Order: sequence, then structure tokens, then C-alpha cells
Amino acid sequence: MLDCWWHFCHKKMSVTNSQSIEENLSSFDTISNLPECIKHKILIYLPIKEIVRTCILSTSWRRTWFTIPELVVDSSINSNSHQNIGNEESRNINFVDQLLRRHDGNLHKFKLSGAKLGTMILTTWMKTLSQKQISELSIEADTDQVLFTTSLMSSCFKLKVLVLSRCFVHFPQEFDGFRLLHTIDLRDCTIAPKGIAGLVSYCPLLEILKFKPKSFIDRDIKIHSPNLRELTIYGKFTQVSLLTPNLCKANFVIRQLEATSKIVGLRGNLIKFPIYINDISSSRAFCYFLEKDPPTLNYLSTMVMILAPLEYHHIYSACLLLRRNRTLQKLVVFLEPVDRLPFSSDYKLHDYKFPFLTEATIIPFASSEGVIELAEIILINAPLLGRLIVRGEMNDCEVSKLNKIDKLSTKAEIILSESCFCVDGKYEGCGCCMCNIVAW
Amino acid sequence: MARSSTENMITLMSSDGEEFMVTEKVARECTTIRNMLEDDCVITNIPLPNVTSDILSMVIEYCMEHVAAAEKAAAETAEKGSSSAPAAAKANKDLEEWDKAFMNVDVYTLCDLILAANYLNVSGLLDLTIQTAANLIKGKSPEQIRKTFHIQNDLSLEEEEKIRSQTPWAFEKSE
Repeated sequence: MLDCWWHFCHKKMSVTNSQSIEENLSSFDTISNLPECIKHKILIYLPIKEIVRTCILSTSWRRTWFTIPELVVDSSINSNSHQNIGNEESRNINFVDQLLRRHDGNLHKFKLSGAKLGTMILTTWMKTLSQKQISELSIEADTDQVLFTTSLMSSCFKLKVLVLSRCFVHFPQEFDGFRLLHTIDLRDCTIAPKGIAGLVSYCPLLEILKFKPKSFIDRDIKIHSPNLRELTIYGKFTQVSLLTPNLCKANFVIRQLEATSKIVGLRGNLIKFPIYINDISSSRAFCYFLEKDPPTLNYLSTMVMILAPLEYHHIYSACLLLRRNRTLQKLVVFLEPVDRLPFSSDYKLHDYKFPFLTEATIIPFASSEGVIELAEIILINAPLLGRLIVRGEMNDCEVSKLNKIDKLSTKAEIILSESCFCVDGKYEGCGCCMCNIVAW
Repeated sequence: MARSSTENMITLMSSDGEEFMVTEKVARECTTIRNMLEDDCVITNIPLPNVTSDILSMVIEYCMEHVAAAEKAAAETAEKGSSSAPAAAKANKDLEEWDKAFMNVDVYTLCDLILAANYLNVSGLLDLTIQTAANLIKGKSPEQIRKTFHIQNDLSLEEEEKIRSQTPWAFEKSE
């Protein structure tokens, strides 16, 4: 046995000796000898062109990228910017076409952006991708001419994550759906009527739903999704009806509708929470428009309110919302100036209770009217308050007023900070919830 | 000191027979070893036939540094009640610097480390080494990559032309 081993080593050495120095060097070529799966992991960090370029390194690299499980095609393929647009378009389509035809294996993740797309070519690609058992698909079109329909997607049974940007999304009623899909993210898409309701009802495992429609034909949205945990809606809606017993995080950024009297009248009922949702734990309800009878959410821990009221009953609803949701730990209020804030006039100041509140932020939009009043309500009713942040400029008189308020919490500190970026409409940098939402 | 003596020591044996004594906590950074320990808790001597002693000592060095950093962060959190963001950020940055210095190795060692990290399943080290290897490739021409990693080009000119023509867009000079 030992003899055999010795013989083998000896033979190997003699072979090495007899070969040229260059051959000898190749035994140091450790990177090429790494297992394919590790080479793939290295390649995933590179831009798409560089991944493909590795095929001419040597014969052992020749087919390495063909079986890579992830591909990200981004604007880096448009490096020759001096070419005219028409050529660019067909060139890009050729790139992706060649890429998908050359690729020879399963593709778990495919991300495409910065390319001009057409529905026709996408149909071919989707067919290829479905054969490659695609599970995470992200497509960013540059116009909303790309139509995403059932026929395009129906064969992608393994799909788990779907991210579409600037597409026209249309899923008609007769559709088997995505049995495994758990995340849907639609940004700046045009969504056909009943599109969201339809899509959601086809995905029994859906947990995360985000959508920010570019134009939306449906203004009355029904979301019936038993496993939905996270929901973000950004846009114009008249009514949102939820049937989502497991929802624990909800973001609503409701943009103001046209200021016609007809629509103003509808505002009171804009967000409808069915009463049986009682475990929303982090609803950052951006309440531009509040119901007359706001919901009580038993586990609500974070709330962001935008008080830009046009009618008295909105303020009234806001007060009611604050009074009812006593589990709040974090509260952010954006405040617009109004003649009279009835926080204290309708209810006694001590009627508000914030037994778990640890952090509160007040962000006045233009003037500091109402800030003192709201700050007082928070300070005298929150025993665990750690800090109250007031953004925006305050004059000396207001500051001294603020400091004179009796605090219920011994460790509460008042922090006066610079004007928030959000107020300037930049929505970045300050790290507040508003920024996070807009940055999404 | 008392604590370290009560802590289980594990002996790791490299392919060339060298033995390394490490605490169980450090050994557990390697998922492969953790799984072995969980399957059989009395095991104290683990042979690692795929890892040479010089590479194993580097892997252990990496695990020890990261265990120490995690312990320090945990101790600070316990002391102050809550973790302070700037201190945590600084500790993170220090560890990143350490990682960066640790990755100052030749390509052979790097590839051996990748293999060892993959075999022992040390996810942090695997990510670090793979990222480092990718950075060595990024932005380089095929010739430069071959030179960096001593890859011998065994394709004939005709073959190379043929491959280039299959995906010509990948070989265009970018601006």
C-alpha cells in the first residue's frame, strides 16, 4: 500500500520535472481549480460584462459562467453611450438574448434593468426563465409599454419574489397563480383594474406586498390575503379594504387627491380598517385623511401621523386615534398649521394616555403653532418617555414654555433639532420614517 | 482565567498532523465543526484532512478575532444597558479594518482560505475571501486576470476568436 503511494508520488514528480516551467506554473493556478460553485460565488460580485469575459481566460473558465445561478443585467451594458438610441435598443436586446441563450443551467435570480424592452421579446425570455426554474425575478422597464400578463408569467411556478418597475401589470381573473410567491414589489407600474386584488388572490403564501402605482385605474382596493404581514401602499386611493388577519406592518402614503369638493367629502373614509384586524403592531399610518371613527389597534407600537387637516372632524379623529391606541411606543406627528388645534379643548389633557411611549417626534410643516399643545399632551401623559424631539425652528418664548411643562417621566429629555429635510421635500438624510418610506 | 479553564477545549488536527487547541466557542464559528459537536458532544479531537496547518492557523486567527469582537460588544451592551450607536459603529469599523489587513495575502493563500472557509463553513470568512477574490478580478482585462492568478491560457487563437464572437458585446472596450 505504502509502496504504491510512493510509486505514485515518484511518478508524479518525474512528470512534473519533465514538463516545461509554464506547465509547472499551472499547478499554482489555484483559482481555476476551485469548485465551480465557488467560482460562481466570486463571479456574482462582478458586473455582467466581466462575468461573461471570464470565458476566454482558459478552457477551465470557458463554461464557468454558463451555469451561474444569478444574473444581474444593468445599465453597465450600455457603455457605448455615443451610439444612437435605435441601435442601442436592438443591441441591448441582443445582449440579453445571447446571454440567456448561452446560459445553460438553472437560474434562481434574474435581475434586468436599464434595457429597452418589448413585450414580444420578454415573452421569449420569460419562457426561457421559467425553464430555468426562476425563483427571484426583478424587471425594471424604462417605459410602461411592457405588458406583464398571465401568459407571460404563468409558467414560472417556482417564482418566490417578483419585483417589477415601470411595467403595465395586468392579471386577469382566470389564472392559477404563483403558489410559492411570498414577495411582490411593484414600483411605478401601471396596474389594470382589479389588478392588485386579482394578483393577491392568486398568491396564497404572500407575505410582503408593496406597490406604488404610476397610474391606477382602481381607486377602491380590496386586499384579501391570509398570510400578508407587510403592506406598503403609496398613491391615490379612495378606499382600501383589508382582509389580512396576519398583517403586522402597514405603511400607507396616501397622496392628496384633486381638491374638488366631491372628493373632499370622501376623505373621511379613506382608510378602512376592518375591526377584526387587531394585531397590527407597527402601523405607520400616514393619516392624511382619517376616518370619523378611527380604529383601535391593540398592538400598535409605532405610528406616524400627518396632520394636514382641512376639516375639523379630521383633527377630532386624530385626537380619537391618539386616545384609543394606548400601546404606542413610538409616535411621529407631522403638523400643519391650523387656526385652532383642539387637542385640549375637546378632551381634558389628561384623557390621553401613553403608558408605553418611549420616543416622540413632532415635525411642524411651516410654523410652530400647536406644537406646544401637542408636546404638553405627550409630556404629561407618558411615564416612560425617553425623549421628545421637536424639529423646526422655535422662538425663545416657545422654548421656555416647552421647558416649563411638568414631565411625567423623570428621564424625559426634550431635544430641539434643526429643521428636518422632509420639510424641504428632499426626503433624505434625516432617517425619519417619512424618508424611509419615500426612499423605498 | 477561571472561566477559560472551565470552557471546553477542542483539538483541531490539520492535514499535516499539527494540532491546534481552541476553545469550543471559537471552534463553533465553523458551522461544520458546530454540527459535529452537536451530533456528538463528547468529541474533543477533530481531524481536518482538507486543511493544512498554515491555513488552519489563519482560519483560527479569524474566528478568534471575531469571537473576541462579539464578546466585547456583548459585554459593553450588558454594562451600559443599551448599546451606544457610535461605539458599536467604531467597533464594526475596527473589525472591518482588521479583516482588510487579514486579507493582505497572496492569491494562493487566498484560494486555500476560500476552500478552507467553504469546507469548514465559516460564512463570514467565506464572504470576505470571495469578495477579495472578486475585487482582484474586477476591472481587469483577461490578460491582467491571467497574470494576477497565474492562469495559463490554453485556448488557441482561433478558439479565443470563436468565443469572443459568441458574445461580442462583452469584449467591447468600455469608456
